Amino acid sequence: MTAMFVDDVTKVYGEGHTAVRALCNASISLRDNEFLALVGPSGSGKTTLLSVIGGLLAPTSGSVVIGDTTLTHLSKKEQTRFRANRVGFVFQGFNLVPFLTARENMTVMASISDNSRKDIEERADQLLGELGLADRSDNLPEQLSGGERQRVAIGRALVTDPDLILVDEPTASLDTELGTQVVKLLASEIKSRGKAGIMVTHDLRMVEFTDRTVEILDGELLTGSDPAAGD
Amino acid sequence: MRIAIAEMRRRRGRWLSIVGAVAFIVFLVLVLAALADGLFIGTTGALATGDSDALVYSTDGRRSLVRSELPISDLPEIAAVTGVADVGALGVLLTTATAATAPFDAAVIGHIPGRAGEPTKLVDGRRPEVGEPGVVLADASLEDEGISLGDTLTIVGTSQSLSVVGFVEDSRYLLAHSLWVPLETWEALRIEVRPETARLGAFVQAFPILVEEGADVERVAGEIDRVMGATETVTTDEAALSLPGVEQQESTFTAIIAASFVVVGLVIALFFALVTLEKRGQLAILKAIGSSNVLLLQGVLLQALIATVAGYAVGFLLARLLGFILPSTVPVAFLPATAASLFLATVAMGGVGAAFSFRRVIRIDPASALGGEA
Repeated sequence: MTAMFVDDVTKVYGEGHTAVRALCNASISLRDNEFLALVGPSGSGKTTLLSVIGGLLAPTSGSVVIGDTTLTHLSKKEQTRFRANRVGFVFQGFNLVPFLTARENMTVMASISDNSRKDIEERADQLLGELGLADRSDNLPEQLSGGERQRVAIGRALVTDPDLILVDEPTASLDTELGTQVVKLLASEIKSRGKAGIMVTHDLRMVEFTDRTVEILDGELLTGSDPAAGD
Repeated sequence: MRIAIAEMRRRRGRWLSIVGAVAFIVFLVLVLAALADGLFIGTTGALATGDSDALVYSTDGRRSLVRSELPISDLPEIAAVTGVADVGALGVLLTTATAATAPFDAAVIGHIPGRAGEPTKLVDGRRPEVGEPGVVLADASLEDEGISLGDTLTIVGTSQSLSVVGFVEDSRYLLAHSLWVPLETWEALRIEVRPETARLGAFVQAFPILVEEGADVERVAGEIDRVMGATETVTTDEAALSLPGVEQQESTFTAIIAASFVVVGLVIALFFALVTLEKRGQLAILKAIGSSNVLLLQGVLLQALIATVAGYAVGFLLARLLGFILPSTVPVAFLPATAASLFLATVAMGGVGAAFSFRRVIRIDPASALGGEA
């Protein structure tokens, strides 16, 4: 089943002769239980595309459908609520709330999403165990290693049981070994839950853990490979 | 809300600094307000805490108890005015009194016991009877000077001795200790201290009045002046504010206190502006993962509320401690009503200060959380 569909999305910054076309007629779809890598050099438009898919940025034209919801038809307020409940984010450089413990960084979603606190707390405890963080749950981010912080960030993205996981350069602050572990873990968590995920990365070594790779260059999506399909 | 509280709990140092800054300003404001109230009560207490709705002065007295002179024979005529429930009499003699202690400034106030204008806050002993000779109801501030019930006071320049039969609170006049005596005693003392007034006959300096229940004080005052012709009747509050320097003193303190509150607002505004700037990335992340602006602004408001309430509590305790160690010669009065209104003003200024960072929070773009910008 199609988890996400981007239809002919264009994003232009500025107007007139200063206009910059960040995305040109981008179309892409993603199935449930599929983990896609979006690769491309700096400035190619991959972060812009991820922002549009996540409802953080309005496209100039085109539409984004996640599950049964056309994200681009929602108001800003509705998009914020949609993100809280249906989209999980893993950011570059961990980006945890520094004064919250590992567990609180996950359970913070109880205040933000429509999930009950009880559900979120149960899921957070389960994720802490799965991610190997059970004994680090009361530690603040500054007391955690880089890999542990990124695992907490993965937990936060999954704790609301979202339909779509958007991952932005997850290995940017990690060495190769840790980066590999984190992406493998991410892929495993996404796949084991039957979710759809998109990972923006410039590290081509990480694409082997995804089902499909799509390349973006100067705002245009190029044909991608589908390792799972044997392309 | 939980995030806001967790931030304050785990980043105590930073929040203690803002609590400390608010506490320091609140301490200054409360001490200033206590001085203002203390001075106001010390200056106007004899009128402000007297049992009256309005005071009748002679027109040429220009609302001054010392300048005003009215024949005592006017009393029945004022009592007959529609709306007047009771009329008393007041006369003031600013002089010096002595006891076993050192001489002190005294305002000997003649009044009719049991009638309008008598001091209301009896804290010890009893009131004089009408026409009772040789007794005085003293202001409780004299207890700090070592004077007790039964002590004998002498008014300098007179042959009379007065026995202290009771103490009343907050009844001073122009910062002098008040000595409330029956009108007859006051008249005798006045003639001894100021013999030139003997030829004026029996006069008082103001008639305090109480109006009937439900009657409009202003209207009754106007009616008295119309009937009497040469009187100026003002409400007791107006009479208190008309005492020399009182209005200027009040407006000066009010201006300083208002300026201090502006500083509270600015300190909070600056603090939250800096905190918001520092937390920009973190706020962008929270917005990206679905935090609404309302949720984030509620957190800012809650933090401002906690900081100002805690700052007020610390400032209040410090001010009260200072109140206990200040010598009794410093006129300070910590009034619950003043403390309550300053508390509300502090919290309101905290909210206003925090509100300055609202626009900054709202304008943070959640998209900046991606691409490593946060």
